[in-house]
Amino acid sequence: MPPLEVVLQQALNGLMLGVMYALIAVGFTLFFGVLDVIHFSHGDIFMLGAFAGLTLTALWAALGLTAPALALALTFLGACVITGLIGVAAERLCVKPLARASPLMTLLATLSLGLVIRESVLVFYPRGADPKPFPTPLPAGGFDLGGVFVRWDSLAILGIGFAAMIAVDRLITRTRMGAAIRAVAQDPEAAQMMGVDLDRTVDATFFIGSALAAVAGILSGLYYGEIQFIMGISGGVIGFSAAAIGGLGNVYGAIVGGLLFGVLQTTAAAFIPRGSEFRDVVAFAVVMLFLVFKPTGILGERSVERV
Amino acid sequence: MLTVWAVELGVFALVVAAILAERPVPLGLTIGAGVAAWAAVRFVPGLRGGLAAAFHGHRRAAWLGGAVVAVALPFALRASPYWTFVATMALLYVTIGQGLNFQIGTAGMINLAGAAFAGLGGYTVGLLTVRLGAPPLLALLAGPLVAVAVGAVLFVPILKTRGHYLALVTIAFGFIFTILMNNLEFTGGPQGIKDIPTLRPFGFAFSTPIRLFGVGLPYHANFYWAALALAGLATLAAWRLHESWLGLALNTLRDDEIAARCSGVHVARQKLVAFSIGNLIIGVGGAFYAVMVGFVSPPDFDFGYSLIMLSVIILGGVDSIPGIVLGACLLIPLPERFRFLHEYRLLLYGVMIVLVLLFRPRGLWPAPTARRGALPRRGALPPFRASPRAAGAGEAGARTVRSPARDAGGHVSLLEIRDLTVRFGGLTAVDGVTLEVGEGEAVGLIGPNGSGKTTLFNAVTGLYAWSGDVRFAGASLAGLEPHAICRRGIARTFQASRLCLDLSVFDNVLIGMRATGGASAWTALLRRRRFLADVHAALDEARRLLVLFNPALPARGFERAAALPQIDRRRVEICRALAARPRLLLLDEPSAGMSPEETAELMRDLQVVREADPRLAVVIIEHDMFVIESVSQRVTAFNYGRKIAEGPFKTVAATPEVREAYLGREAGV
Repeated sequence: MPPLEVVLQQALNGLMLGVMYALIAVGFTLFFGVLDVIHFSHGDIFMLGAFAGLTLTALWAALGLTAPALALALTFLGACVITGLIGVAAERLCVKPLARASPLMTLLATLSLGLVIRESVLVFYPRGADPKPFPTPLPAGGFDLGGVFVRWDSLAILGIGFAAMIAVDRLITRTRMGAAIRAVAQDPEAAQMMGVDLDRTVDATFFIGSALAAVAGILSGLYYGEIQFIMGISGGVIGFSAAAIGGLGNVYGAIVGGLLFGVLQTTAAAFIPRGSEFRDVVAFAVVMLFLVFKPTGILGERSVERV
Repeated sequence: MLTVWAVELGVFALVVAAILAERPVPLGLTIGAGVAAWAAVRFVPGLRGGLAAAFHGHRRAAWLGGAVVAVALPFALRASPYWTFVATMALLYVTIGQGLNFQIGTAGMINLAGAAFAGLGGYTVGLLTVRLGAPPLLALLAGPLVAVAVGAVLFVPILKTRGHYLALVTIAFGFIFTILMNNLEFTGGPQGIKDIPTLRPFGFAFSTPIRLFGVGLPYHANFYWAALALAGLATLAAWRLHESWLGLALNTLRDDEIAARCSGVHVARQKLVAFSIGNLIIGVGGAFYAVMVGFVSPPDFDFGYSLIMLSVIILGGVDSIPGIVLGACLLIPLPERFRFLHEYRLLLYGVMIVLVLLFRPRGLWPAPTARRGALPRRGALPPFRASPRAAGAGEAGARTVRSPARDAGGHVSLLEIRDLTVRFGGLTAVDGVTLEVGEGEAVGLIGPNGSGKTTLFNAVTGLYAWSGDVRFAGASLAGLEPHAICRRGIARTFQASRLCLDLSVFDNVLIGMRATGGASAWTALLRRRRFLADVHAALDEARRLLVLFNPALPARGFERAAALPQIDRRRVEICRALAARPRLLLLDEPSAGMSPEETAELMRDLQVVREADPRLAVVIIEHDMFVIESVSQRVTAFNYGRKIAEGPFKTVAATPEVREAYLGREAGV
């Protein structure tokens, strides 16, 4: 049993990872809610968000924008808009036309679209194959809290992540568009009869979800200090796992699932010999076991099939 | 016959030329010839039909010619070991594709870890031969079995989850496999296992170049022929299994699991069988890959390859056995041909799959509906087993568990329900209902919507959990699953039609017979004559049933069920229930959604059925009082989950509670 400080340190690290996973998972769960599909290229949208962030950071520097806080804010804003629009384009192109086909079809179409996005970055982004260092404007250093070292940039990442989640919660529970999204998730036909514009709502959902993925992508860049074109594969699978643990279609479930997955990973890394190599094995195995006992997730509704 | 061979030779020449042509002029000529051939088939009227007829008429010659051409390919490619290797890879993908398609296409079980199962086969070969010194041939046999064994362990989460959650389980498994192979020491980590010894059957090493008919061939040709044999076997096995009763059961549970369960299909067992057969075939492909290339490493079996395997299926056509062959033979060699596009290869690949899915979602060679339409009738063999369906209608024989209780009036009680209660959370949908149905009796159930009639059916057929006592022919039904209840002799229809619309009419009726028998998968694989006799006996039985309802139906037997009008769909559904040779038939609102004329027709049909088998008991839920009056001898009325009246129609209809339940309380009363 490692000492308490180590456990707490790992929990903190897990929370950091978890915030990013949660942001991706919320996208998965939102899309599932409105269209009943798994948008598998979402992982690569997350990667695009990171690359959009990197490009914008470089752009601000080239334009001589020196205030780091302003540059960072503009990076987030710009990346969210760009990635959100790309997400909407992906939905229009490849998700919605197939939403009524079998799950296998949409799964494969979005997986392939992910491949296209990934390869496009590899081929068309300058030196796309190399890992890209991600400049961080966040202050270095930190403080000691009862044996646990808390870094300033970690706090910033946690703060931004939770702020994004709260913003989404507000958006969904307090606005007209949010009400439309919830209505469509419950019953698209009834929602349409009540005057909800289905196409616009779906577009908005994909914009929001993809923008959140962009936030996660930039946070990931800030956290690891580098980004890579293949980061979307594991990001997508983990985000999907998190959404499934939480129960597909439930936003809070996705957040809980994401945090859980992050903590699970870091705990596995701390407690198991050579844990850092096998942490994903443990995490995925737990996900599978979990689905045996709770096949529709923590907050997923238990569906009774009507006969 | 000559036409067939000429066409096959032409295609062969075109393929070889397309592979080998390098300089602009021959390449241009090849492309021109290909386009011309395509345009001719597409636009010359009658050519396509003529060719199809030629191939249909000379089936054996076509197969023979195709086999000769496939065997001859290494001779044509002798100058290029590389292309022989690529052709071999395509054949391995045919094998793997057939296995994966059996899971995904036939049984509807999404498996996104195809590469991991192939890897299990490959790594087993590597470990056994290199680490333990086992002979490669033995390892080649062991590899697929390991894939099956691991698949069986994984089956627990697979059975519990469905749809997207199932996809996640298999994705997670694939990732676990890759990470483990990368990090475990005994599998060689990222380097994998090198120097896997080659096959040496009868002392002949596969790695030696050979000379045949005076032509020197690279050693790759050995592997090509072995892979060709494997692919041929896998395709034949997949074909026969798809035609078999197992294939039909899998198709049905893929399209409608509840209908399958209520037709006597043991869903969990059939899924496990399908998953294991699939993994066996995939494992064979992976194991063979290991001995062919001589090493295995984690990147050979990662998620990307699972996607390529899946793409083979999608491109060729889901659940289409010839489609898989076509898909693999296009998808694997094509990118190699365009190596000057190497950088963009995967990109184009992804774009192509998206385009296929958007514009040709059923694949290049869509699965045919009439899987049994082409089965030859060989001789006049009698049914290979005196199946219950061949015997008289009422003689359920072996299924009579215990002699039913006979009361004083000679009335034989078949279904006895006592104090049946069904609860959903706080809602009591059926509340202490007692009901008895005798042999040959027709009982009507009436009551307003939500009064618990359908819930009663669902409880009796094992779909919902219940408390109380339900006995059928003297034996309790407690704890039985729907398929077991169907096999005891209770068949049903559904309020909202649960036909498998993409399957043929005959297939929909045949699945009902699965409850009482049908040749095993082994018979379908190995004993062709017996299997054909069995299928034709079943088809004749299906025709006999369909004719009872509508003389025109058997002629449309090989069409998709979706092509039928509503009333015929309902008839087919009733035929499916009758095909199970039930002693009790539960009809859930058969007239729902029909015009008065159609309803009247259907009532006549039901009378015919009752006359054909006077011992068959029928319970019918209806809102149409004329139907109830004309069909049933006795009526039970429900409201709020309770029985409120019972007796002859006239008496029940006159009961104040019943009138109130249907029409509401009269004003002023």
